[in-house]
Amino acid sequence: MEKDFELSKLSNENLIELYKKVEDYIAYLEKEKSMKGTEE
Amino acid sequence: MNDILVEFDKYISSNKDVLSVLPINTKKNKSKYVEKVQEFEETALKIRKVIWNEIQERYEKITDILESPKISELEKTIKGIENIDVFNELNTPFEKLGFDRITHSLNSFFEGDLNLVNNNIKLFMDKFKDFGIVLTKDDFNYSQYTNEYISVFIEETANGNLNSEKLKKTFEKIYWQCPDIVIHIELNMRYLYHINSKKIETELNDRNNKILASMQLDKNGLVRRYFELNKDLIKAKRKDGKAVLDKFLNDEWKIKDFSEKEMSVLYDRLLAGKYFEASPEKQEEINKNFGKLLNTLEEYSIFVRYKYIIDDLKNKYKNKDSFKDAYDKKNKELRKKEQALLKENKKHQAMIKQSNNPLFRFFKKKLDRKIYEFPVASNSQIKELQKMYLELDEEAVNLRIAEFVDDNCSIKYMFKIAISFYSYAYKLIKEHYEDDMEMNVADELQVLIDFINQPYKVMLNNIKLVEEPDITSIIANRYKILNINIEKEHLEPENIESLIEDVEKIVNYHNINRSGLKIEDIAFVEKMKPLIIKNNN
Repeated sequence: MEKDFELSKLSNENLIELYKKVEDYIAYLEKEKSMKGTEE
Repeated sequence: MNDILVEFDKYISSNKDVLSVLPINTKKNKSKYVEKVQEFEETALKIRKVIWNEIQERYEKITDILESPKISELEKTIKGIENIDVFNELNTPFEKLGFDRITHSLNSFFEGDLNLVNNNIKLFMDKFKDFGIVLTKDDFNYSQYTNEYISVFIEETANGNLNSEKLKKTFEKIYWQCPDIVIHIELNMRYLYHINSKKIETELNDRNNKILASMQLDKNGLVRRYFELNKDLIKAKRKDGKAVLDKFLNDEWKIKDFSEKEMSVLYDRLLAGKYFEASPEKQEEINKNFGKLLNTLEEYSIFVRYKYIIDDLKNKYKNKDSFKDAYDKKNKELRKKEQALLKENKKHQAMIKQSNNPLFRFFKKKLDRKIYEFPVASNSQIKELQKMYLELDEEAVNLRIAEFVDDNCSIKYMFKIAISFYSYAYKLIKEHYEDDMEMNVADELQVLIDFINQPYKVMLNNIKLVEEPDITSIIANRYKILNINIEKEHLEPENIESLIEDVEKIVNYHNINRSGLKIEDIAFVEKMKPLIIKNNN
């Protein structure tokens, strides 16, 4: 996936947005991990 | 939306779909689910790192901006002109060299601030040393107390320490005997300046002439050059990329306040015409006019804030014919009284010697009585001399008015006279704000001093002392001609600050655009700064 990103071509605004998306995505995964990990 | 963002959304979506179809009905399945989530998370973290590196790289590139070398060059040249105050034709070396500030500081002494006293004594002695005059304890003979304190001062501060216990204890001891000790020291300093003034003046003139010769300028040329350099420095700083970026990094400015929408509203309000539809040349002209307006508003604001000083000077000007001889007369009186005091001091010293001499034992009781009574009598004379010195300071200002002021003098020149005499301006400001306990008089005075010593005083340079112009109408009409929507009411005290804020914003916007920085780069840095700081901690 990393190879597909040509980050240098992104505008500043889009770069920030991309960062926000990946942060939200990581937060989602961590939540899934903690929920499913503790469920009986 | 950008392709990469769309791709990334698809990527996330597809991974979420994968997770959504995984069974989680058994413990084993849940464990496999969590493993899959973990796998996705590891990849996501790697992606985040790549994105973060790009962010950091861009942030560093934008903020890695140096101040224009022109600024430090100008600052160096201005510093090289040394202290422009020494070329002020309105005052004497006493003021030029800052002796008036020292005596003023001692005159405003409040109990307990011994550091202030000692620092001022050291400064005074250093200034004399700079002119080749090394003061000793014998020079401090205004009273037995100055002599006693300075003797210990010189001893104790030889190593540079102004805070020794012995010095503190000496001061305390003397203070109980003579609470006016600081006044004694102050007047002793004034006396020392007086008897050395010719030497200091000659030396200062020589130094000034050397500076002028080295720069191949006469005094007026030097002063003009100084103001031109300061003008250039102000211009350079205003549009310097680093200075502009720092305003955002220091949270003084916010980029959202400079959006085209916001600026459009502001320009529409203040300008007759559409700014963003004008040609680049027209826009440049408009911004130049707003720059001039800002300078005018700042001048007017200072005029209103310190008008009471001009009023006091105007009153003095009405009586200027009576001033011409007053200074000399007062000075003569003062010196006579001073000489009488010093003569009495010598007599007192002689009496002490006699009292300790067995040859005078028959007169010892009488001598001791006189010695005992002397400090009170001497102090009373010194307090009178203090009053005379303060009156002399007032006459010095009056003399300047008699010598230099006429109907054609500008308001700026009058302010210059005021700031040429620190104690005079300080006293006026203090009296004006006597009910305001929060007012820092020294700071308020420094604002005026800094303002008058800077260039761009077009309005104040053109209004004459004797005129009583309707300044607000003049300003409004002047700028209406330049298509700026400004009425007299905008300049009323309750409205002017808001107008200055608006015009300042337009000027700042123009400077941001001239700085070479891109608005989107500023926005980027502003947004990412908290995260960069967090990440670095």
